Amino acid sequence: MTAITRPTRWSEPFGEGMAADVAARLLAVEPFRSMDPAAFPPKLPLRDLLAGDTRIVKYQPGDVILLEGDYGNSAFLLLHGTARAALERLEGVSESAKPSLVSKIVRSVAQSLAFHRVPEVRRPAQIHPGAGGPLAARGERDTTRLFLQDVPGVLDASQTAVLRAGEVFGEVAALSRTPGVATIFAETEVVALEIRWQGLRDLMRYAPAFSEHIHRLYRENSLAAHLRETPLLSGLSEQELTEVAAATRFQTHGNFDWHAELPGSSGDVADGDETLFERIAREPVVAEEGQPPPGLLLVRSGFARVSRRRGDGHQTTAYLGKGQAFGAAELAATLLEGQPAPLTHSLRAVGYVDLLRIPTEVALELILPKLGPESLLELASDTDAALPARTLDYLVDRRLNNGTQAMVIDLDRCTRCDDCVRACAQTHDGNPRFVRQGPTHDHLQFANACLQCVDPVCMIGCPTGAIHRDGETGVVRINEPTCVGCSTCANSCPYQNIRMVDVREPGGAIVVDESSGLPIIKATKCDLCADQLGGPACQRACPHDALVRIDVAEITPLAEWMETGPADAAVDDPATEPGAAHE
Amino acid sequence: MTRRRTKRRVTNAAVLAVGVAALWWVVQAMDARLVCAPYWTGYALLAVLVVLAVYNARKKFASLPLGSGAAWLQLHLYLGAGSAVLLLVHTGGRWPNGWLEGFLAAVYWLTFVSGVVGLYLTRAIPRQLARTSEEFVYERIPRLRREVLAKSRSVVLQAAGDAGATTLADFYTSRIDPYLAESRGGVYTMRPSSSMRRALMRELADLKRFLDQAELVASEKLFALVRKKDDLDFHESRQSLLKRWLFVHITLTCLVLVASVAHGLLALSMRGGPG
Amino acid sequence: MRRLFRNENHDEVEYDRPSLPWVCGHAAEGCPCPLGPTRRGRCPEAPECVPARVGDAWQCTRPASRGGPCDQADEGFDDSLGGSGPTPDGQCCRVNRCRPTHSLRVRRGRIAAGAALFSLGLLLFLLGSPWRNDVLAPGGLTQAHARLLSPAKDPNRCAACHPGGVDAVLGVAPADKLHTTQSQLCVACHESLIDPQLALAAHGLPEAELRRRGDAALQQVAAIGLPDGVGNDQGVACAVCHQEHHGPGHSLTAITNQRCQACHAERYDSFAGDHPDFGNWPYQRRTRINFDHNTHASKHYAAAGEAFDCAGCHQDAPGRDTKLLVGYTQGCARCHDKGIQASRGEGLAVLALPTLDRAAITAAGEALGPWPQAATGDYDGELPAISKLLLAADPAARAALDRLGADFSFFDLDPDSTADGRDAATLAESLRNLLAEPPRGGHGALLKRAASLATIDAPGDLAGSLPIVMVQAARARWFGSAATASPAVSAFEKAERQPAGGWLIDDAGLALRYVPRGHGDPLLRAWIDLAASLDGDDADLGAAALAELAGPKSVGQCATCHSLESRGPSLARDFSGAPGGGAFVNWRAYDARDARRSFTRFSHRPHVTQPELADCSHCHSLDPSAGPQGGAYASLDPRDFVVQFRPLSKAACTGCHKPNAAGVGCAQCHHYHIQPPTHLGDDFALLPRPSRAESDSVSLPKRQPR
Repeated sequence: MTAITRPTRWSEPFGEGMAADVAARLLAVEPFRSMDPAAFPPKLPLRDLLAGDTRIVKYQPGDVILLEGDYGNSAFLLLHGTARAALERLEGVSESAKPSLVSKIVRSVAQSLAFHRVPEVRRPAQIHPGAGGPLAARGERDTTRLFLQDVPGVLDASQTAVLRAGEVFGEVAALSRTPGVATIFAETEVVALEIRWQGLRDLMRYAPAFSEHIHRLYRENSLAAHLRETPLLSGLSEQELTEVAAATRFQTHGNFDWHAELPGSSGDVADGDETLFERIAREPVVAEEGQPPPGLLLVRSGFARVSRRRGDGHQTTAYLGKGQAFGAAELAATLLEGQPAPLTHSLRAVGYVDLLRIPTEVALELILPKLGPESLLELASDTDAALPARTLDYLVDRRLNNGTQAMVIDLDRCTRCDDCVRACAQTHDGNPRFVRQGPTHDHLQFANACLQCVDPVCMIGCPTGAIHRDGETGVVRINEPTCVGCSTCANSCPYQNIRMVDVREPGGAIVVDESSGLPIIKATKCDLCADQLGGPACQRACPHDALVRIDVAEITPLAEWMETGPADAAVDDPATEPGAAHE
Repeated sequence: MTRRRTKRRVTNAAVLAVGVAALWWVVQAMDARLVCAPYWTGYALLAVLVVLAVYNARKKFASLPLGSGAAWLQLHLYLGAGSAVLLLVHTGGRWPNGWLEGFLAAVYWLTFVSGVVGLYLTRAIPRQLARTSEEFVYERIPRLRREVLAKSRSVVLQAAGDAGATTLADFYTSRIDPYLAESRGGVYTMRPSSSMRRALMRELADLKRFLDQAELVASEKLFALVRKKDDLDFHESRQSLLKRWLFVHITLTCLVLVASVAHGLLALSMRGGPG
Repeated sequence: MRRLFRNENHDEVEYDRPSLPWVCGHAAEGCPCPLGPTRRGRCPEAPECVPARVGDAWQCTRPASRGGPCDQADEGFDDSLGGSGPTPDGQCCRVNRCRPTHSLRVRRGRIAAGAALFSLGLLLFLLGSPWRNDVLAPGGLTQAHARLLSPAKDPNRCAACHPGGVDAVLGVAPADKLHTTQSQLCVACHESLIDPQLALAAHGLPEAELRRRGDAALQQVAAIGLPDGVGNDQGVACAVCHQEHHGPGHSLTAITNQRCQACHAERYDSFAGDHPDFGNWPYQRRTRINFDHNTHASKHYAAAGEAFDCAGCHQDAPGRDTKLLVGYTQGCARCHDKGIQASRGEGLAVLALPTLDRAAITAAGEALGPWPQAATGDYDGELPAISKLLLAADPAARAALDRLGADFSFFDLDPDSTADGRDAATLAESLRNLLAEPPRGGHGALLKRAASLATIDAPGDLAGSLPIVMVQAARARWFGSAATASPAVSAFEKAERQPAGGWLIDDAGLALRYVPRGHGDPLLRAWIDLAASLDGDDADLGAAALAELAGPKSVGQCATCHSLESRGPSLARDFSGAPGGGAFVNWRAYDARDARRSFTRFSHRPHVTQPELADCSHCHSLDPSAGPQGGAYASLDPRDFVVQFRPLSKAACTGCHKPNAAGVGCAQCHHYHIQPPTHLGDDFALLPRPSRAESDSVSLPKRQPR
């Protein structure tokens, strides 16, 4: 275990040295002007916050500010100039649509017939952004920026909305870690203030008006949709939904920057000498066991640990992810027995968690009655976790509960024949896209294959949006031509499931950048064989039922798989899975 | 062993049994109709052999949806068992007394046995491997072993430097370093044993009382490194076994195919009877 | 650079690429170079970076992904890889060199392919080598074949049984070779044992015959269609049952019961069980010699005070599995010679002159030519059977005979009938000519007459060495002018005087007589055969002759023991085959040696060795209650007869013939290949013609002229 020092706030300032006077001038601009500096805690003055967590960005006409499908990381305050938000998908801007069945077949056959003697071969077209497309790149590496080559053309071709100075955009994506819904690009020369989400959150925390503004935006745009997707609320009518939406409160717990901290690496011993229980105790409590339920809590994003005090420790009984609810059991009990039932479990934020709180009374009168009595009873009956606590702890500590398509290998059956790896290579032009290696727990190995995270932090800060979530399948993929090899994603992936590779030309020679002489590198990761027939080749190839791609964000699939063996829990068409769970 | 697999095993075995029964009945019927059954069982046998051999070829077409590898393995296993019965029926339970036929029978049964052995290995070894501290990829083991060696050396050097005593260093150079540097021989590959590791650890434990603080710390690290080296050796031997039994099995399979095709051609061109 | 969950083993590592054919030579030492072998498997020997010039200094540009610039001492620094930092002339200080090796999988593939190629090559080599036959043969031959066939090394050895031989395998066999079937090759060698034309037919029988046997099973077969080749013109290939190449010890003739039941759909679960009992087998016809076991046992032997011992007549055939009957001299002569001697009497009249009524003949308007005085008066006297047969050759006489009836006597002629008169004259005339012939034509003349009605190919000694002079003398005496005085000695005395038999002249009876030589007299045999063989127009002529020659009162009384049998379709089942029509006489007793191979086989030898079976009566026990069989022999059909033995039952066999004792396989007691009766083998004239439809389905192999 090599422990590294926990990075402190602003140790790497966002804007490269934003001059103090600029920050000062910002204070004169809405919405900051109407904020009350006194409301900010002394260790976190508004001015420093602006200096540390924002930066001024200048865009040329046509520059893409936010890319559709790109992973929101920052909110933008338009300071000068006008930008356009494309109200419909821009042709060729986001990843092209799902390949047709025919092309899939052709591709598969071609794959199986090809024999690759050298790794990572690319055709020139696969190295640079397609010349034909509307997008081109300028700048290099981290500072690379995409721009629309033909702005008037785009304006004619597609509906766009005008954004003017003073308008804030990208905040929802930034706060809820959802892919951007629209491409936003500069129409004129644009000066914008980019506020990274860390700052954004603090602004919301200490500037109620601002947060009110943001939340209003969210309520208007996405809340109803989110509620509608929640199973508990499926019975409600539109009108009731809007009522619930109106009553819903937002709350955030924990450190949004979860993937930067270093939880323990083994199930029971954390770094240094912090024990599991100490760490659990350190995790921000959302709702305390024994207290009356604060209401029906829906996880909007992030993760939470459900635990119960046992002995002088806390036994993890479940973890919650996006879309799951807490407190329903107690509320159901309340409704059944007619008297308030206290919480039987505690809810703690793991890393961070964004919650929607539907007040108790609303839940009791609008939501729970809609469920039939038997489902109420089912809810009320507090069922034990399907997995042992230590496994749960392990998953949570490793944030493996982030994975909807984790590659789990049963080492008791795996003969290390590497059929999975070769199958993977087969389906990716002779290049494996995962490493049959990784954290092991009991006889389960969580191999280094992309988990298809609920919260894909890898997508944060991709300069070109090359790594994106496929609109149709929800699979997080890398669009290689636009990948500039900045390694940001590879570095932010907490599971090391993205690897940078040296690109070679068909002859086998490594392609180098003529200016720097450095090899061209591309980020590569598992794409769940989205372009292939029949789902992940690794899972299909395993002759011993040892390997499975499985949704760990839920507890049951893994439990079932360990219980009844393979294929029961195995996801048959993973291409649709993550999408279904997280659109 | 999960419920699911038990169920699968039962159903497959049942199917196999039915198949064998049907085969037996058909052959009896053929004989009673004066049909020369061996020709037909021969064709069937060849077909089965091809299907069995295709199992390996299928891996080269992983990108095509040709059914799951697990399903293929099941087919391979039970069809393999069936082929043995088919062969017995084909030869009438006699050991063939021609040169070619004798050779064919010999390689077939060798293949069969190697298959059974392989099945045992693929079921038994993984559990042994899973019991070790860590998981190692076969191709990386040499590199890891090297790292262990390098690390151990630096640890000892540092200890020696800090402590100014060479007690640990001497013991290390005489006993541990050779152990960490060597790669185990064939005997170990066949029957890995931790005896050597335990002996070393015992000696190291005995040595402890003579070590000073720095050396003690180092010795603790050495314990871990020795254990890891042992795990590496264990993994290497077991995994190489898992990989190499296939050498035998596949090679024999090729022989079987060649010989059986030759045998088939001869049998047909030399076939007596009308026409 | 942020890293979570750091772990030495799977941190910062490249993808494992097990499917690549080449592995860096340094991989074994654990430090594969990041470049890896070229696609041809050579080491690129490339520097780790291309140093960049910064101001007047060179700077290492090794990317972070490969450990970053090498000028700061990097972890795991290894001098063998070179120094650190670019060389003064701006070259990279580190150039990895290795000899790339094949990946595990490639090696495995090569070994497998190599093994396959080697075995293939070895096979081809052996095919070209002197051991070719050993390689090709799926097993050793049975001793017999191995000994007969050309030497083991002969390249053409296979061709002896396999059309085209090895060339067929190589596909270079001449077409004509391939047109012959293997079975034809088998039969070509075995034709002495098995009729080539019927060799492949089921049971070696033409299908018509097969069906005529009306086997229930076969009815069914007809319904379900015969199995492979049974009854079609291909026939059942030899190889269907006779499987070679199972080594010297292997039995070529072994056959399972199911295979019999391929056609014989009537299933027998076991021999002791529902296998039908033997019925009257083995007593399926009367004995050829009319030998009454009962009377001999109870009367004759008893009277002679001898023990009636089977072995007296039924003796082991030397070196065979059958019993043989002893001949007349050994078996019967002792008692029967006297009788036969006694039956000679005055001998058999061959030529005799009847007494004719000259007046009546004249009255009838005919002229009786010269005729002995002693033989004129009222019609009287007989024509001996042989004379009649001889006269029948003369058309005029034949007509007369036909009118008077084959068995007429002159005594019955009516003096007032002109017809009788005319016939008498004709016969007299014909008789004179007959007497006159031998002196001119010798025996030939007589034989010519016989041959004119004989239907048998090879008539025996009909002339019986009749001395011509004796005929002349007789004519002289009887028709001489000087009528002789009545003779001194009677014919009887004369006969007495010549015990060895021979000819004599009976002057009193005006007859030429023959005295048989004893048992098996050739002349008698010849004339009886002749008479018996007559049928059609000559039938009653023959019958009359038989009545006289073979009747109970006849000279020699041959027919009392030698049974007469008719020939013809009714006897199609009788395999004792005899040519021509009419009837024949069984001069010889049954001889197992010329029995043809039939469906059932039984070997006495292994059985009688069992002490309890040593006594024949264990199986063949006489049935005293059975009536005398003599009467039945009047019939010409050998199948109506009195069985004097108690029926032989399965029970006698089942004691030993159990599955795990003496065995109960079909083939143990039944032959598959049988010899069809000769009179079937040649042509099937005697078979009922198959119906039109049937004859279509039946296609008998045509016999090529040899």
